[in-house]
Amino acid sequence: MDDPRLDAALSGLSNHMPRAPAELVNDMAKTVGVVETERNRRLGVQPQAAPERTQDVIQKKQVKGLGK
Amino acid sequence: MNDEMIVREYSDMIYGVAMRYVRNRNEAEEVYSDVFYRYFRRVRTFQCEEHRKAWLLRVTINCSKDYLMKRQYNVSIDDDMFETVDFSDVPHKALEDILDVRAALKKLSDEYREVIELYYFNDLKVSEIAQMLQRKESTVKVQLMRGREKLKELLL
Repeated sequence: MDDPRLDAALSGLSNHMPRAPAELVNDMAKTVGVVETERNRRLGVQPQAAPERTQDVIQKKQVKGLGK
Repeated sequence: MNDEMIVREYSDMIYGVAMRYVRNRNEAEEVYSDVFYRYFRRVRTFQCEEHRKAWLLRVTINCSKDYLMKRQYNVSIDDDMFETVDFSDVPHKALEDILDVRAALKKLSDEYREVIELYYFNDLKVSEIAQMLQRKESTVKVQLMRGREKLKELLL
């Protein structure tokens, strides 16, 4: 088997690697989310506000510019 | 990155590496839970994302090896990671090559098979494999190159 065919076959196998089951991932994400919220509550950490999206900032600037 | 994002980012990597070693879905799931339990049982800070990834990889391989040591004789082990994978979406011509390579990999010595699988299937960099297996990068590169050559010989 030449190199390109070997690479294609390895890539084909790689694309079929077993993935973590969605249910397992969702359960773990949910669990750590609850633990993190509880820890932050105990430590008095305020939940972070979602960062402003770049597009929102651009739109705000454009609106400001129009008002002048 | 918050805790939930860390789980979503690294789940496939941890599960995939665990599968590579334990070759059994139930045990891979146990390794997966064990790794995240160890990670989240204390607040951890890392200088950069690469350090976090390296820590998770190192713990995944340690946990997997612990499971291999403790393994009961009645655990069913797949011959490879792809034992239960459905390849029906692959065109016939490509599938022949894939199955040939898969069969050849089983004949490869574990020294070469390990680095080839970690590099090509678990999508890890040479530096990450070296750190994880506590080998020099140059050693991993040579093992990868020789492993490929041996694989090609087996496919003649």
